[in-house]
Amino acid sequence: MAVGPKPVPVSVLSGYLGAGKTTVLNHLLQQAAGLRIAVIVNDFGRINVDAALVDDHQARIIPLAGGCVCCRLDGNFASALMELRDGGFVLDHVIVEASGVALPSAIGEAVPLIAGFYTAAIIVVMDLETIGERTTDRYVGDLVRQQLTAADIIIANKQDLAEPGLYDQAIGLVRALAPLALIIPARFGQVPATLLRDLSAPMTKAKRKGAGLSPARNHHAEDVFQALTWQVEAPVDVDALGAALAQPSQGILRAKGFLRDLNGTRVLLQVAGRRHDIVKIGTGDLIKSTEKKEFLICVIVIEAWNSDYVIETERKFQLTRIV
Amino acid sequence: MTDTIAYRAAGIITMDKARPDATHVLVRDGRILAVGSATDLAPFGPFKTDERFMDRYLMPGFIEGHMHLDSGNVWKMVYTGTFARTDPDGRHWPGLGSVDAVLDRLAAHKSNDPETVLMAWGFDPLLLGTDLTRHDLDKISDSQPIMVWHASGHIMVGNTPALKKAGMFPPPSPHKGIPLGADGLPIGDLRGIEVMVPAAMALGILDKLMNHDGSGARPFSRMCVRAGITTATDLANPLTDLGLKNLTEITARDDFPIRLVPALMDEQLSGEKLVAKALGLKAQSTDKLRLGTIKLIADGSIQGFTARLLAPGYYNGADNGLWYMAPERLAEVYKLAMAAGIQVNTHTNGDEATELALDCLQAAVAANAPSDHRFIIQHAQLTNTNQFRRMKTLGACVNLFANHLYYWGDAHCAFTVGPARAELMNNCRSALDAGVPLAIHCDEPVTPMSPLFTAWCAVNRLSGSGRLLGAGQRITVAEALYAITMGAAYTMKLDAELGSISPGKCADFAILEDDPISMPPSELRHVKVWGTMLGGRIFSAQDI
Repeated sequence: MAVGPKPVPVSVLSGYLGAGKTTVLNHLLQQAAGLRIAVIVNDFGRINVDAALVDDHQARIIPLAGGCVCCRLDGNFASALMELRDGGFVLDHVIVEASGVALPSAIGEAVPLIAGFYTAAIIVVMDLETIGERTTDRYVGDLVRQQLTAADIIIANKQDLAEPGLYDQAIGLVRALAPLALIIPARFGQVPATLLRDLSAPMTKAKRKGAGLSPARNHHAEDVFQALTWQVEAPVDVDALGAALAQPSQGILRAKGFLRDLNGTRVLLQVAGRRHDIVKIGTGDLIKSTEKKEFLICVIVIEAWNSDYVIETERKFQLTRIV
Repeated sequence: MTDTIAYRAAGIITMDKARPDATHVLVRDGRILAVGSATDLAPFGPFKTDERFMDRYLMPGFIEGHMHLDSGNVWKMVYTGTFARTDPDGRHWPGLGSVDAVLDRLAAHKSNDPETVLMAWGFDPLLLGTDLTRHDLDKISDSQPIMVWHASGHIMVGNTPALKKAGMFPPPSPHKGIPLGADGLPIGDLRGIEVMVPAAMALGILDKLMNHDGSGARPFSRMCVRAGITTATDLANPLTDLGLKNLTEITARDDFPIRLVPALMDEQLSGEKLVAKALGLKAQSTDKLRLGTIKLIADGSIQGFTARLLAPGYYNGADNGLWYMAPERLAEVYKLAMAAGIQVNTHTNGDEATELALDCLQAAVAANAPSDHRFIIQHAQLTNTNQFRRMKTLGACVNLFANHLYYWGDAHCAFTVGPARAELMNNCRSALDAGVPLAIHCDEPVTPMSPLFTAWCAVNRLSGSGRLLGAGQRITVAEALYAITMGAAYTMKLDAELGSISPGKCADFAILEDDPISMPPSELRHVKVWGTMLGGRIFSAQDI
């Protein structure tokens, strides 16, 4: 297969009805300034776009502000992704809004089967107030539990409505179902402003400061992410390192690095949520373009990252933190 | 057509208790004027007597409440199933009992053209007991892409050229739906819709199989004539502007031999818009195109392990199936549609999905549904007797998938629900005992179009291997024949015009070579269809 443009990250936005998925989506879009986003939705009507555009029933793809597009899901997300790819859209990120009854894991696993895309994150929105009832619902309890279990990032929405005791109970419930996921509490669907950027951008030069160290619970829309960069001292078991970094619950959102594996082969390691991917780097131009970045790993972590875990990982794999 | 014609038959099974048996039926302007003996008809004279059916038997035209118009499209592919089938051109395709037979048939249709994908359908490893692999198919051609759909619809298997063209050889990313062999390369299976859709799109074969432009109506209607069907549903059609225009034109032609009842399904529309569209469609109904009913899908299929089951769940321990709609949306659409007088069809297969549909129906009825709503639960294959009693209480009808016992009964015993519950599937006896209005159906193209065969299944309850499944759930021949005529007409709110040979109703008949009543019940499946009459116009199966 010919080497095309860089693969585009895809985030799956999931959550059962009433969790606030559309609010989160609109919020993500509002904050997308500078990013070229495509959203694939079931229904144009619920996102904040010009109503005149939405009223055109024949439209399948409509423009949004800032070079973004909205694509209506007719049938299967795969056909929508292919249409975006083949339509000549230059994109930084695609958000697939899954239907309320869809299993996001099935979408996340299938995205990389479509040339030109990879899965950046499965984001599941939940309602802190109702999650207890939802997860035990006679008809959809198993579905809601499966959605949460599949998540890399859980947006724990309606934080403002949840009583303290209920809040702790709900978070405990979700943590038990999704021990590996990153849980971000939110009010009114307000997710951290840089979430999409951190899920999208090439990160090798990312240097972003954290926004203080107060507990994540009290943060709503602020930038809660920061970047670490490691120097890798020696050839490393890249698969084991990838698995160690694919731990959103430890506060690690993404990682990317050009490394040498135990056989001395040059590889690209990418970690997105709970997935890691290793690509062998051939000889030739690609190496030249990447040489400068070799033996560095850049990692995006949330503000409340688990430093004990990270220090242990650094020790185990002989990583030296340089930023 | 102002002639008045008396058709004389060897026997007329009217499905009307006022006059159950007759020998003559008088037809004028496409309607039935009278039915009885020659003597009974005499006062209506003068009329011509047509004796071409004097050795044949007339029944009300069969009414099929659950089929798919685009079934003709599957015949763009090569049939490789275990059971014999007949295509829209009337060509008989014998069933294939082994992988070798499947390969022989594929070989006979190959061209070795790398640009043309050889597509096949209906292959059933559950019934053959063995699988088909990429290596098997490579023996047929290593240059032409070959892709074979399993009968379940949830898996397809390709040869190496097909997998390469699909972009799945090697898979771009490891996926449980693309199993690998010992050589680390795909064995050929592409499992699950998430894997099949991108592959089919890359192969350029998806559009060929899914078009709702009305082009399937003609071949579909020819199959109906051969099966004795005069009224057929198309149970899930988005009814786009183009599709509606084409269907309106095609069905208006005099030589179009069926009344077509498409059910609107559009998952993109909000509940309000869906109901508004259905009301708009209803107003555009014609004599042979009946619009305004809607279709919703609650869960998946039992043989695909995607139906939602109550305890004890799947016999082989598979996880519970999938909801295809959120319960909240189901409830919302029911309320809106029923308040507006729009009839609702809901696909449920598992008993949990049926339970949910009944819960939502109960809420809609409580919120002011009209009393004669004739809400239909479609398939409802695992319905409990308590659920039938609820249907009765709530005014629901049921359309059971009676022939499923024959085609998948053995697989249901072995894998899906186990022998005990397989004996309860499609339990027509329980439905009738509970007083629920009953229709029975095939699901062309999922199972072959044949109301008489479906009736035989409901009467005999034999699996493909001959295993009797639930003797206590058998119904009589008379009850089964009622289900494919008046029973179905009632569920579809067409019983004022169709479903029996009664004065005033449409002259829609199934014309049979044999008498289904006097034949042994075990022989019902062998009753031959000569053709049909629709609104007084005769269509012979031979010439259609």
